[in-house]
Amino acid sequence: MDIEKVEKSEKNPITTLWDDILFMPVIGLLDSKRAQDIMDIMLEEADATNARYIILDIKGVAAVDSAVANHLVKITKATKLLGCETILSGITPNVAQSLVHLGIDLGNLITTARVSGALEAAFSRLGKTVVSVDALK
Amino acid sequence: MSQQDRCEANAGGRLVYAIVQEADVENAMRGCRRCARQLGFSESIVFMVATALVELARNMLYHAAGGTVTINECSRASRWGIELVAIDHGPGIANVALAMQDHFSTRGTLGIGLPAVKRMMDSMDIETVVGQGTTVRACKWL
Repeated sequence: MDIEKVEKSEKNPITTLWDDILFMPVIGLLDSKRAQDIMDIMLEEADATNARYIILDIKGVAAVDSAVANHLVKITKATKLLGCETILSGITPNVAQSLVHLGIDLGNLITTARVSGALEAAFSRLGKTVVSVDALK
Repeated sequence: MSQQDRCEANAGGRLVYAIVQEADVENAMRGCRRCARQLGFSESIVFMVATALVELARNMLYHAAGGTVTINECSRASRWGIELVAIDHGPGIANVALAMQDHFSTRGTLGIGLPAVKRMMDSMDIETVVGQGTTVRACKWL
């Protein structure tokens, strides 16, 4: 197996959270190489699993400058072309303020504060819902 | 001596980082976060100052093939703050007013970096000479 490819996916783990829903957390600082790796991995996984949604969690990013914001927008556009929509979660108050200062328009991208909110958004679009067991009694 | 120690020269609350490759940006950002936290900035300001530093450092890489970033503690009229100074010997900025406009870029990037730094920090000055280089100074007060 291609060692570089293995190392790439070790650094950037992606996992299936539910049928049709992938999850990828991003931690640290994104540079252009890492953004490219993340885009490669997301596209490969979206293609391989035929997932409809990817939750990209950016709670752990160290800074959101214009280059990072640009990478994020590109990544979400690319997955959409494959028929897999990116939901951006982990929009902390810090990230939100930086995005506003940058004046970035995230367009109609779905963004949520928490991963649970992103999962809920994906569920509702897939016609699924989470029900408390008590409610079924 | 660790990688980090080699990259930063610390002299009286001053951190100096040479920025020649993307990995240096991350090192400088860590130093900046540490310095801002030690000064007592809130986490959201720490994040913003770090973002401004990353923006300035990456700008130097894109436009000037690198430079130096200095992080200073500063004080004025009994107020404390953090000062970021980015110095490069690149081509300089021909039209600063244009560079400060949102969505102006000479390189096909978003063109929002410098105006964003100004919005994130309390003050920002640019000294630039075409053909000699650029110095950007940005402060955030406690």
